[in-house]
Amino acid sequence: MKKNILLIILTLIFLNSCEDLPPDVYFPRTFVEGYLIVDEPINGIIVMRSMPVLDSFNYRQSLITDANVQITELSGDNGNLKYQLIFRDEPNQGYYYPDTTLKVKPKTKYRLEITLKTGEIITGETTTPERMQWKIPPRDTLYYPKDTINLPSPDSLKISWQPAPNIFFHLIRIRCLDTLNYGKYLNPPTDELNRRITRPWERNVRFYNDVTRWVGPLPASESPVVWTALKWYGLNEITIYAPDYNFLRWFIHNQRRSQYEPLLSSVDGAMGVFGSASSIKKVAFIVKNQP
Amino acid sequence: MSYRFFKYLFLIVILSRFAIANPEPATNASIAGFIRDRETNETLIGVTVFLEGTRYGTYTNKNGYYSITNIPPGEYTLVISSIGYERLTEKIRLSKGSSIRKDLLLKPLAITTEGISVEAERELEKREITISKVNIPVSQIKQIRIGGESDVFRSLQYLPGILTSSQLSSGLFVRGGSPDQNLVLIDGSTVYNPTHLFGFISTFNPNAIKDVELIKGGFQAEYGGRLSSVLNITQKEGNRNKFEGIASIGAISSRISLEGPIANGSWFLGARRTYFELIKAILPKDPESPIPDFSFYDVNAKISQDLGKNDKIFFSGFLSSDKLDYEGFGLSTGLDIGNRVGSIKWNRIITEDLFLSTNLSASYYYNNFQGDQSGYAFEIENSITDYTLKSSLEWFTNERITHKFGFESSKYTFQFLQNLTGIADSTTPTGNSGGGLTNLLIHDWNHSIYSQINYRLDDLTSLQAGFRVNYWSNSDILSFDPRLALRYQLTSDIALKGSWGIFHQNLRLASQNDFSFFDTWLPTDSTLPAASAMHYVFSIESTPFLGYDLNFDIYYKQLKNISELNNLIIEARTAKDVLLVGNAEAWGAEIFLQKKYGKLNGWIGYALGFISARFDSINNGQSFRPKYDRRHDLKIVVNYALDQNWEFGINFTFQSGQSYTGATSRFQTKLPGSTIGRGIVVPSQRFGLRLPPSHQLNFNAVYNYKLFGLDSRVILDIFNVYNRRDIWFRYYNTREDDTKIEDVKLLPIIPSISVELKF
Repeated sequence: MKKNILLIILTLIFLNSCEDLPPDVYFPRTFVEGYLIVDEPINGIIVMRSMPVLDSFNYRQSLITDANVQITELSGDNGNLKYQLIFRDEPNQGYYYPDTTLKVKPKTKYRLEITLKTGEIITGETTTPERMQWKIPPRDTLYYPKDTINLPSPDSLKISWQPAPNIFFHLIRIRCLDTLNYGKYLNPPTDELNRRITRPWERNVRFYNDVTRWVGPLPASESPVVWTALKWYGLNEITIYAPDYNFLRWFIHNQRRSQYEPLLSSVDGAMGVFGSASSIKKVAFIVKNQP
Repeated sequence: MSYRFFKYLFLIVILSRFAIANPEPATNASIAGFIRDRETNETLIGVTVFLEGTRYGTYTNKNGYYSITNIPPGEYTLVISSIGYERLTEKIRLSKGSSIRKDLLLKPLAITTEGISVEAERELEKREITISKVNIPVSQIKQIRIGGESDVFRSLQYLPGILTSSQLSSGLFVRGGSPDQNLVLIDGSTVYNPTHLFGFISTFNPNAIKDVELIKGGFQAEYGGRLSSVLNITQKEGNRNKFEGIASIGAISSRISLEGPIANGSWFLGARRTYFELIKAILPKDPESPIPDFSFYDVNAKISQDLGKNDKIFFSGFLSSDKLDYEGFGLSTGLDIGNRVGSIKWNRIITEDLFLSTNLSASYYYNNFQGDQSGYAFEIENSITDYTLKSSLEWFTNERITHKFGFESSKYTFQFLQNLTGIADSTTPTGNSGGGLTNLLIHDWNHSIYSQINYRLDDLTSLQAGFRVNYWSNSDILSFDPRLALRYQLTSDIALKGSWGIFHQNLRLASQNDFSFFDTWLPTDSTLPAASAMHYVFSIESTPFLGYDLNFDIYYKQLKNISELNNLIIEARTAKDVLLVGNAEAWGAEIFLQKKYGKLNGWIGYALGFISARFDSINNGQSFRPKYDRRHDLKIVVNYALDQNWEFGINFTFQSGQSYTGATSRFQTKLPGSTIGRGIVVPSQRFGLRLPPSHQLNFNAVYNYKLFGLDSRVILDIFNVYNRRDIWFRYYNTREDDTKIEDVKLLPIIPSISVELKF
């Protein structure tokens, strides 16, 4: 009898200690991603249905293309202005406002309202930051250091900008504009191809295949040229963003979290972000230091 | 209810002097003194001292002092016994009103004899009211190793009910509490970051330790300021008779400890340091793959002096430091973490029945991080400085009652400097925070008073009641902590114990569970309530067989306003910005079979535990179990001395797997202009799933021999004997379109050899 009791206890312990396999259930959720950039048209508003984890993710298939998406400019000069957005696949996927002459205004409150075919309503609000300006923009040409180990960055390459009022954190985006060509931008042009700047630790990092590199949040209004932020030589666009709080929080989500975190979301009725930023940008050419 | 109960308890403690205690007849006698080791003359803790054939007896306190009062005149046999020492008996004659001072020396045994140890243990147990208290002999601590290093915290992790976040962490999660809820004391001074290697091992060098005592819950009123447990470590005083030392070389570090007599006392100096940087210097350098510089050291020092017959003074010091530096690809970083602890303790025997202990200590913990990325400089510096004056008065009132009163006053200074602006010399005035610059300097005072009584109601029943009152000036919080413990001797081999208490904690640690990289201590400010806990513990303690202790504990613990680090923070101005606050409950049962002495010694422990936490900002406000929750926890430690040359030891652990969070769907987020973006999974219930069970077997063999006439040892350790690669964490890799569920595995088999020489 005692042996049987012991056996039952041990069996229960064993069973209770067993592994739980990852769940294979699927609960679809709606995700919204929208950024209004001051002085740029309204575009790239994404409405997405989350996909099963165990299926191969297909970005196009996950998009909800038949939603009613409206953006309202609140307290505009002529009262509230409503913009009806439509979906397009190219050149940038997402909902956009067809009149591309209409630009996002600084220091303005916008409201996003999405109605899905199922009747779900998703809303979000953002107030765009004021414009910002370069104080010392990046040079047109930057020579990547030959000393690829120590990567010195002289003070003369420092960039700085005049921050927008009440904006304390900035984001820097470096985007390679042409990952294929290099020589055609030289004077005289050559047929030399562009290539990645290789670093031993980078091959398995997130965003390896993305043409952009984001740095931040930067609690500063100046920065040296951080060479390790560059992914490709050649033509690169350096953009400084002054994000609102919604954009800033979602940026942290994007960089640090691989699981959805509701505390960083800024829309009601779904997961995601409706944020805004003002920005300044400059194109610079990164010269290879060695063949 | 609690208010009425508190009033009742208060009355018990305060009025016991007048209402309960029988005034000591002037005709009765008393005996008191210190018990010391005959070879080293060092005082001994927990030695039982009793008058044979009577109920008069006690055990030595942390200072090696005993006092038996209210003894009727007559002739008695005084018996002194302790584990590892020869039993000492001495005939004494007590005349009317006499007060005898009897300092005695115990002779150590070459081999611990079971009979004597059993008697000593039984006598001690009979007088011990404190519940859930575990003493692991230092000799056993030295036999539990990881990577060739014996370690206090690693040994304690082999006790049931003590969990870890992973094999990489030495942090102690005691009965559902987090490591910052443990009060860690070294010679009475608080240590704020007791880890090396960013949490891998503890800072306490076993060669420098005399006594380790862990109270897992329901601790006495003399301890406060923490919610879960007390770890009380006493450093060695040193050999008062002759100079001696131990040197050892191990896989991770080397150690030396020296001790000897000085004037009317002794000194002890112990040091330990790594030599990775020396090994690195002879390795080939690869500029493409630079290896970081890493080192740690710690130093323990103590001087004790007798100032006459009734006064003793101790100077204790403890230093620890960890450094990690990296340089390459335009990035240079440096991390410097350390503790500096110093104390002066004065013990005075006022009268034979009044023992005063006063301790003035300073404890400083710092954590500094600097970096520079191609000219973009950043730094984070944080520190806590704690100046504490505390004093306790033990009053051995009579053979039934011992009182202990005390106060504790601490001045804390918290400094937090963060400069993420990129400009190394950026400054901001003290108290400012914003725009990447934070410069905080916070002063706080904590004052506590306590009183506790150990009252032997009759031959079978004992009571320990106490209360503690705490006041924190910064948050203007006044808290009352009543504590109560009862002991009932059911049979000669079985005792029942129960304990209840309220505990408050003002300090909070912002820390990651797995690594202690940027541990920051914060005071509770006006934005947060003080954390509190209520413990209920019931225990059956028995000795079923000769030399074996079998304890069964059940507990329930309520934790309120505990905190978790807010990893999502952008900028912090108050404690509320840094920490998320919630409540938790922990309950469970533990069974612990221990054999402390003999050729074969060790223990088997099993714990069944449940933890449930609820934070408004986590898991949508629904309750969840923390990551470190393990339902089942089985630990086995066995040491066997084959002969005078060979000793063997194994330790084995089997635990339910850690908790992890699954996912129910996935989406993709892209910042403006991004071409690929990032896959994000939508989580299922937070930590709602379990990883496979963890289990691990470690083995060690010790060969004792003479080298040039000196006692020497070669120690072989095999960590993770059957190479079980437990899972550290499971995550969803969304880098590609196909989501992969990947496991990050823990350490493989690691054999190591170390050598020890005693001189």
